[in-house]
Amino acid sequence: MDFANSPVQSGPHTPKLVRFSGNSRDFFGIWIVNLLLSIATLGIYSAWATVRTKQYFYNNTSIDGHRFEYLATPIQILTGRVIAALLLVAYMFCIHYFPIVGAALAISLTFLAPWFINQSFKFNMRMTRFRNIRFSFNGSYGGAFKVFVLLPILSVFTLYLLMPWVLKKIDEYLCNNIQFGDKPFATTLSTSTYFSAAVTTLLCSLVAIPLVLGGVFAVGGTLAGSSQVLFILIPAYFACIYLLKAIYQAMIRNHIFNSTSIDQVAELHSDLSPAKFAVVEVTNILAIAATLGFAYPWAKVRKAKILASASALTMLAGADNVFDTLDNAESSLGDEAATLFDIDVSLT
Amino acid sequence: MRVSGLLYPFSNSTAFKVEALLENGQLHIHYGENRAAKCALDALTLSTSIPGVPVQATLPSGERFVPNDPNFVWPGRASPTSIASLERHTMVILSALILTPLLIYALLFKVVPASAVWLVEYVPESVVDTMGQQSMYVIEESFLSPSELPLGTQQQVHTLWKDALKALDLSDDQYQLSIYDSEHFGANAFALPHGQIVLTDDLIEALKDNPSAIRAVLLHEIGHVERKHSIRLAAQAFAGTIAMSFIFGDMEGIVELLIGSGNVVMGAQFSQEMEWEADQFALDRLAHLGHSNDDFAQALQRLQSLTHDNEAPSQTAPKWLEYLSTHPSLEERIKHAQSYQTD
Repeated sequence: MDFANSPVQSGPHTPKLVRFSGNSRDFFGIWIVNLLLSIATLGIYSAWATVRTKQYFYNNTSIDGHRFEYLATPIQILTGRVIAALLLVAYMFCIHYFPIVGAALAISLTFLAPWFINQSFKFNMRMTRFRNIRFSFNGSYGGAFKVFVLLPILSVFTLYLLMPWVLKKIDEYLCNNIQFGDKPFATTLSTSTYFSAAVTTLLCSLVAIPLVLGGVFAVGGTLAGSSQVLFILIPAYFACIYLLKAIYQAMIRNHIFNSTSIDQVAELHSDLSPAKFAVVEVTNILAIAATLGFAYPWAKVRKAKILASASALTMLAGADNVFDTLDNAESSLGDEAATLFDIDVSLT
Repeated sequence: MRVSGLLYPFSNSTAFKVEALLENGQLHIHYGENRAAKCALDALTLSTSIPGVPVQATLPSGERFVPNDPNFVWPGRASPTSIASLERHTMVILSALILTPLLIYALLFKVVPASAVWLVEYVPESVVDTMGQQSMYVIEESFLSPSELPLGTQQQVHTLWKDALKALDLSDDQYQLSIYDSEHFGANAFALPHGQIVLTDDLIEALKDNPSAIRAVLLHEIGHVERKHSIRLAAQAFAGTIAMSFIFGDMEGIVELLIGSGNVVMGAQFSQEMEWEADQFALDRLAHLGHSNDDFAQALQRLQSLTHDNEAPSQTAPKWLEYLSTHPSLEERIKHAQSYQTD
């Protein structure tokens, strides 16, 4: 058979499953060596560690045989981290020793935050490539300021009752500003889904919290001694948080994916079962706690597999005709200017 | 050699399933209708090698070739000492498993405290004063009320204090003593970084028949100030937070929690160490001023009897919880004070 003459067919209307091909054995080796070198170099290597981890997870996530790629270089990550660390030092120093300067700094950070968030998304999107096409993010300062600062502050005055709507606005802002090459993402989200997800999570908490507390007492726990609190109540608390977070996240993820399409390229699908995802998240967290962190690689791989297998894409006719807007010769000057800020100012 | 994989043309989302031909140091790929890419193997830009991830090759003309086999090794490009080979090596992984906890321990208990000690030297006096005054303001507002002891008793303690300062050659500009009533602290004493020392009514009450014991407590608190313990504690928390977020920045919540609890244990250990230092300071000065080391032992014993009265004997904490305590156990401190020898 002659491979060479057949472009890979992206047959329309057949959903392609997302696949995660990583395994915990490979990732354990990467993780433990990353951790060791990060500590031994007092954090310098953590930039390389981040890049290797992301490359492992991106490259092992594939759609229809095409792997994602993570393009950032460790130096870019390190620069961003050093800047973030210096800002943190300055901020903590001011808070501790010059409270008034610290307060002024906190206020100016509120105004800087939208810019940082945009910058971070721009960076991370530009560093993601699929089928030789990079993603990009086009959010404006005004748009980010509205959804990340203005609306959350306003929702305080409604006693957070409007918070689900604010979260919807945030997700819409993020999704609608992403582009795959020259093709924009389009997402229309429904407010009622966000409210029902919030209510469902709330109802689950009314069931889960008494259940967990009952379980604690049933195994003979009392909340008297500090050792009891340390070894039973704190893990139970975290298990509850992860349980509720997973239920909410699964519902919202499904909704976002199923409401999103890339113009002429693909439609996204997700059918993540909230119950199954919650079980995975809670058992992951308990396993990590019980092994003092050593189950982390296994848990992370397990989560990636669950998420991938719940996702799919329907390729549309234009999937083979996307062009990378970032590699064009005429934009190289703009690229030069962009590289000056081509860093993700964050410690994470 | 033939290698199957995917070929991505430059800047375009099309993809072709191809078989690349590697021959005589050259790479040939035919794709589409009569399109071809070729270049010397040396001219390829290869992606970083990571276990379980195929090494991709970018041609100078912009095409990208991804082998299907994650274990494919590009001829002439395998380096035996790459990070990826460490990550695959069982012995390396096993030794990393042992070394990592040891290094975390060393970092939390050695490097961070050492850098705190170093940092302290660079904290200016004015900062120390501001820090002390602001902490005192908060503590006073929340936990302290004016002393209810008779003026005479207060006067006696102040006299003891002045004598001690004079004997130690310390200025009373730098050191002030205050006496407060506090339900929250009970029988207690503490020192703030700028030299303010607070005794509670309950403590003076408990030791009122033994002024030498009060003097010993005062010396212990002066020890905290002289050795800059509060500043060191703040510097320690500061250095700890920076180190944690920088090194373990991209861990998820629970790992941070685990390491955070390591940080708490470290803080407690550090604080215990400072208590020992302050004890040592008090004992040294007692000996220096010609008083008995037993004064301090007696003060501690009195405090011990107070705490024992309030607690049922069965309620005593298990041994390991002592690692989380900010103070060493009173028994050990009493033993240490009793067996003190001047060097």
